[in-house]
Amino acid sequence: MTDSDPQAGAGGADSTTVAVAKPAPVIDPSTVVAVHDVHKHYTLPRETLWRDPTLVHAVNGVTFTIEKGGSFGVVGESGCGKSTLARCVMGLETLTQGSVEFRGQNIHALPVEELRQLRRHFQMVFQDPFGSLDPRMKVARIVAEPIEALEDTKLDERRARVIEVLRAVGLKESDTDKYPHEFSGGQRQRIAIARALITRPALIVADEPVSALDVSVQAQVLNLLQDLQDEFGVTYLLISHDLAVVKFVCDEVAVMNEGVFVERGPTEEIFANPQHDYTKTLLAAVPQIGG
Amino acid sequence: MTLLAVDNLTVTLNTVRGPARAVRNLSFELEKGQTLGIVGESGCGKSLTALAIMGLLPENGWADGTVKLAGENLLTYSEDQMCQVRGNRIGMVFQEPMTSLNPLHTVGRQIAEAMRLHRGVNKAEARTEVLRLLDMVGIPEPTKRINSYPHQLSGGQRQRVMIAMALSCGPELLIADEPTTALDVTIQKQILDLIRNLIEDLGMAMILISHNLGVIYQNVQDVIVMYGGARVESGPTHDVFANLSHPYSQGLFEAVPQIDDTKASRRRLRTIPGTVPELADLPAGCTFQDRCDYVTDACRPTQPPVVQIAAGHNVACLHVDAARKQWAAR
Amino acid sequence: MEGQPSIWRRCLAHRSFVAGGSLTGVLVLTALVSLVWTPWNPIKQNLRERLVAPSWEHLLGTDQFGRDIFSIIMAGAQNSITVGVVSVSIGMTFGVALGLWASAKRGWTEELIMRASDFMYAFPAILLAIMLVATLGQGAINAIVAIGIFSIPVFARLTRGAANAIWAREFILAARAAGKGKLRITVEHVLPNIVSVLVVQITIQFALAILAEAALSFLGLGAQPPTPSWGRMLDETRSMIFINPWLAVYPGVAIAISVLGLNLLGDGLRDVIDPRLARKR
Repeated sequence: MTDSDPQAGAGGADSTTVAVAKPAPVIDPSTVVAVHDVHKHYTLPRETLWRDPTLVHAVNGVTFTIEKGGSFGVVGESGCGKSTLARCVMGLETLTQGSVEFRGQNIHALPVEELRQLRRHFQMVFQDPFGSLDPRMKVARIVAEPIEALEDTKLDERRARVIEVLRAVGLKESDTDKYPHEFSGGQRQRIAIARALITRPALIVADEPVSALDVSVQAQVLNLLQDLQDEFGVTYLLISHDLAVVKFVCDEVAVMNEGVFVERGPTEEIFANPQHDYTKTLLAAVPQIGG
Repeated sequence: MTLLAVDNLTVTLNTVRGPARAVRNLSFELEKGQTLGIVGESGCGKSLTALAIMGLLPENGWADGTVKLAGENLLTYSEDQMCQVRGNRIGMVFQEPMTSLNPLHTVGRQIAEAMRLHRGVNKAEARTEVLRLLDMVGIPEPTKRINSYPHQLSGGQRQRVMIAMALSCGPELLIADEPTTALDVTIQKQILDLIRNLIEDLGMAMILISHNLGVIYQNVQDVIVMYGGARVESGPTHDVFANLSHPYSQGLFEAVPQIDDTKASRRRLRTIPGTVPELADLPAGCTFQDRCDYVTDACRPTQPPVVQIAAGHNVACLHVDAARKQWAAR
Repeated sequence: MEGQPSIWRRCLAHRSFVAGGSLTGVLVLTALVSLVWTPWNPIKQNLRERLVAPSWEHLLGTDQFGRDIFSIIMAGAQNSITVGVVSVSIGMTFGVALGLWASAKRGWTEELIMRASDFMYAFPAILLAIMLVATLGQGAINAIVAIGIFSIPVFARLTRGAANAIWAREFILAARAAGKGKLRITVEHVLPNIVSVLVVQITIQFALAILAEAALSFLGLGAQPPTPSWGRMLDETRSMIFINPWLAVYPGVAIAISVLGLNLLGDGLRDVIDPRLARKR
């Protein structure tokens, strides 16, 4: 699980074959995740028996790295491939081409069991706080899920960690014995964040974490994400359609359209001085107050 | 003459935990050609207000007060009479165009339906009119698209079809309930521009309902901010935004990250503590009392007085002076 | 959202649940009581008291061998319940396992399992059961196994469909992201979320099993004499139908009431467990 793992070398060598435009990722100890030339194609079910099924290029060659403690935002409209990209980075989808290296290990080349073990170091927060929590489990079990799956901890120690992490996201000890439906949307998202946080992961991938929330609650969750980064040094990959949210959380941002990054750079720069036409259209379309 | 006059509208819902007043004593007027925005979070009563005007409240709800369209109280209308109003004199656009369109009928047939019902036009006339409407809402190749089914269109195009349906009988009033919430920003801009231009060209009045302050700011002349079923602030849009005075409106504004903020300037967002209250649990008195920084005992027993702070700019708050002072000093 | 009346309240307020529950309760109770007590010995023949009319002594009269019909009906409930429990257990265990497996694996595993169950589905189950029993030899156990085997595809298809819907939910993705394997996700997330669907199907399959067993016994392929069985009673009284039609009515009514009770119970359970479905109908 260190950077000198042989997997790292293999992953690096592998990706040089496809890296023509950009150099192969150099494994820097401060690099948490290195995504290299990721492609993900789907075949849709056939519409008729006579025609070939349609091939969808959801992600079509995406490369980026995130440094420790950084926050990288991917912004784009629905269908641009940003959620697929998030799932590829999480190793929840197989890749058509390319590699995702987490601390130097190519996660898509790892055996199933090793990948499962590695998962404690990168966790995910989903968009829909109503769909991402099993309605038949109590909060204590939902939050403990990652350690239950990956570690052999004792019950009382597990409970202590659940309570600790619930407190960190602003929930109470007494909440452990409740079911998800007893909470509001914002509180549910806190539960989901607690679940992602309990293994003290190096990376949290957040896919539209505030899109389903009311405006006043959205602010609480965004502040929480900031606080957790200050406190635990978490690295974020944030996926959102909301430019302002990405701008608020991220230091680096990529604009995604039709499966590729059309523009990428430091947040302030992209927003102040967009180069690509699509970025300009996107920025111009945001209804602003004033001006 | 006033087109729509809503006076003391109260909507009550029967819930498992007893009756809940989801809209409380709401009054406003709308002139011909005027545009009004209603903004608030989920459960603030903005959608129920629209449904009450349309006579489409759910079975467990009823409305008190008056809703006068050109002088006639719609709340006293029978279902048959309301059918003559809906789609004919008031058009409505909903949030989710996929579920509001019948998947089994072509879009042409659905747009023609209201016309044939209310205007009694024949098939050929209806077809010509549908083609004109499709063209008007910016659907390319109307002669082809008239025979399409909803699933063959993109989300933006479906919303254009919904708008064509709402406008088919030339209504005096258009109610758009979160018309762009399900759409991408670039499509949202196209749809809102389209609606705004059509309203202007056709001289209609509009009520635009949204949770998005930017959408409201860009598209309507007047605005009502609602919280917990009650109007907390209202007035000409630009005056209200230039001078936000109710603690809730201020909080709502500050809670939204803006793209022209710099990260350094706003490392933290100001938040409104707590969550949106359940309708059945709304307190007596000011509905915002449990989340308000300025709350005192005086806020609890009765609904706050409405204070006029500028021409047409009204705020329902006991502590409006303190809130305004604080806001100016921020 | 909250404040729904408790599940028991909803059960008791639901008419077909109460009716079905009572009828099923009577069936189970009868079977239990008959284990320790019946008015007369249901097996013992008494040729001097053949075809006696109903009286206080013999509530439903006696059959052509002089056995007390009320006692046979009571003891026959044991047989029906055994058949239901065992065959549904067989069908459910294998069917649910196959369905969950298909749903977790997807791809060609799913295709294979589902096409195989479609294949079984395509044949009339009762005919195949007859064939199976004819091959394996007649007898209660073979009949039960045959009925069980032919409810496997029912459970497999139902489970696969319901499980696929659960697999598509986001909390499953969350569990995968948390590092859980497919087996654990199936056991901890998928199964608990489809139990309600299964419970309803169990009651319906139970009723179908009782019917199927009656049919097989009627054809002489099920429970063998002297084990009391409603289906065989029908068969035995067939020749008497013009002399004493009531003899055929009693077991027929017993079968009908049991099946009706279980179906009502299933209906009620579905509404009570998932109120959303009830409103849609």
